[in-house]
Amino acid sequence: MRIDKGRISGKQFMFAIACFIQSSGLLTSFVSGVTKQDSWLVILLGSIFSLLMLWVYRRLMIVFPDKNLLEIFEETYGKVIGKILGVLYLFFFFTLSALNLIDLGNFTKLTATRETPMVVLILMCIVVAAIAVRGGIDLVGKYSTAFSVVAVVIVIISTLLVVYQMDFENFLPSFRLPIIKYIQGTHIVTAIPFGELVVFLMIHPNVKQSNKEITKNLFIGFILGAITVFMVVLRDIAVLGNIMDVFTVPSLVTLHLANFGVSMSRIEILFAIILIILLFFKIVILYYVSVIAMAHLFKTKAYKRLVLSAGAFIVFYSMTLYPSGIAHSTSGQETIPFLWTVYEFIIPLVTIIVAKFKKNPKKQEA
Amino acid sequence: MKKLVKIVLLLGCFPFLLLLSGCWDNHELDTLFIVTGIGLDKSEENNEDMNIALQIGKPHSESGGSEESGASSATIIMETKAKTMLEGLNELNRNSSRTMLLPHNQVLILGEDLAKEGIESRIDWFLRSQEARLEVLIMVAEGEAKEVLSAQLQQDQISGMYISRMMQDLSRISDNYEFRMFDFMSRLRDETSSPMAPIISVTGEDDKKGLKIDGLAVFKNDKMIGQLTADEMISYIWSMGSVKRCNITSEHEKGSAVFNIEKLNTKRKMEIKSDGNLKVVFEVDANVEIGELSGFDGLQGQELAATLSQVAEDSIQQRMQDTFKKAQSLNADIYEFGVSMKRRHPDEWEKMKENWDEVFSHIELDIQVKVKLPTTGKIVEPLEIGEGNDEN
Repeated sequence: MRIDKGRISGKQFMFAIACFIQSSGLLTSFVSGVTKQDSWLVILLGSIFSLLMLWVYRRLMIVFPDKNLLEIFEETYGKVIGKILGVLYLFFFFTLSALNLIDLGNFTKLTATRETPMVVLILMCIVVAAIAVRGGIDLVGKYSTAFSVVAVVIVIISTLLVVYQMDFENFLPSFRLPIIKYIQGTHIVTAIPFGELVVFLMIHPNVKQSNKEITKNLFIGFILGAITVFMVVLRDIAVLGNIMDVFTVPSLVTLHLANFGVSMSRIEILFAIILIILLFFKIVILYYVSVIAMAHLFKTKAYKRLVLSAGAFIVFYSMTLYPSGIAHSTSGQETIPFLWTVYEFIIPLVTIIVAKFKKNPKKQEA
Repeated sequence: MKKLVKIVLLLGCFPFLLLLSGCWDNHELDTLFIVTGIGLDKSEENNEDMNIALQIGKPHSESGGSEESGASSATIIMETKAKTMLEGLNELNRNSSRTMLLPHNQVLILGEDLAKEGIESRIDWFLRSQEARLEVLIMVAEGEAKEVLSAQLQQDQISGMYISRMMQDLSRISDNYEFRMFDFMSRLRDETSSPMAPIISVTGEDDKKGLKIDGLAVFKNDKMIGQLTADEMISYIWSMGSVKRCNITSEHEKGSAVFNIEKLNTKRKMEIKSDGNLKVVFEVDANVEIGELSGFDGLQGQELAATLSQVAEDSIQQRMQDTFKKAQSLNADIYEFGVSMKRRHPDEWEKMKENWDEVFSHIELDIQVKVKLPTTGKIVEPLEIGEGNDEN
């Protein structure tokens, strides 16, 4: 039973994943504060761990090609536990949407519209996102390619513009921090931007692709996204050096410094625009997934009617989630990664093991 | 019917264009004061406060030309006293007819007295605010910052623009001439490096003034502790490497020469000597060209070239060594040796960083200069005036 009848192609799925990773990766301050000049290493390690996680998701997608995550739970754990897990995941999706929404609000306030109240920014974003969600997954999927290609192009251009300000000595000394910092950093990277890919388990039934293509799309999409993030982090370290970890959005500061003659200065707005677009895309995906999960739990197929109420909920949730930006970033560095690991890694892993023991008739292939 | 609904809906959307365009915090140009320079000075009355001076560029209105020159200056100076930058800004905004627009600020000038007292508590705003940019130049005024801002200049009338153009020219010679807020902060955050800022002074008289870069202010932590002269500043720039196009004058027993340095690169090597002290080696590679030459009688061809490159090498080395001695006497790590140590020898660095001041004062600097003299200009040897031709 698919709630949304729309379908997207494998390519669109791939770019959607790339876009999703790029969006949170461009806000790199959550690791730069922990691991400083070694942040690139942490991104690399995080990507490797995430590949492990992706493998788990891939198994789930292959074993249950036409079931979304909540249906998978009901199938493996039975109705009651499945529903409880479903509610937990619904909370997870809503929290993610709210967190990203507040990120978008903060960022827009920081870069473009200083005096506009947060509510207005958030409301406007969610109204547009609601239109996209009502359009269904096929509408969302269409934009992913354009967004992610534009993001890559802008990252490349902006990197070229600051090349002459780079000092590769800034990477030294490498590997000198206490081990625990690397573990913490890797954990943050794996859990916060990369692990959120778990939401694609809600979307994969809508993708037209064979098992082989799943693997390909999942991994290529992820690697495309991760490379973008990696490039951004390398660039920021090379340009900013020891001062990078002070800033809330290091990339913005890097581009502040980019000056190609007099005419090409102040290009940070380019970055701001692309980041807003990407974050918007991510919010749409999360919002969509929340709505689908909600429709599933309420056993209704008319998910479009839930869009606005879910949107209202997300807005209020995001407004009350954290008292301040400081609380937000502290929890992002200290508590959230642990909580998210449960949702993103442990539960899917347990599910796949349980499904194996239950000898699900469908899991014979690959 | 359906068409009608669509049209009504479309028309219904138009009010949103006005309502949602987010322009309630707009500022029209004629309600703004464009700030082109900020000066901070020590207040005479109490230590808590500082004098804040903002320089505001006035738009040109020279079309008529009938106005008496000097009757109106190109800038407005606004002043206030406050404990911090933001308090001062708010105070100024309250009392002025227009809103201050800060993103176009070109330069932050610190008064000498304020710089000597320490500035860390004063400059947080310059990092935090969205309006302040990190590429703002930072300078120390000889005397009062306000004087630099309010100087009636002959060339570019707005001193903020004057300074920014001057520094832009200099940064063509070497990137190390860029003393931006960013560089200052970055050094301040290193545990050992000394931040620096050019010293700017006013020259000339009355309404025919000019500005001049007069050496470098050397900071230790956030306090100014001394200064390098303009000559020492140049040799400091050489020590940091990647220099294009500048001059050096050398004296020799046989004559004097001015060299154009086409390109100069400095590589540094950190070595730890057996007695635990540090030795730093600068390998300087320079391409020079003869600018002017006088004397050197009787030398020709190869011999002349060899002598000249020897002369150039000696004088480059001498000047760099002198500057280093000065830095050592101030005990200020202006060369970022501490950072180089941290990067290259992190283990030894851990042991050294506690008493870096002690280590720094014992560093031995070895400068090895290699000069290449590829071209001589349009003539080879100096013009030799024949003795018999001295008729008039």
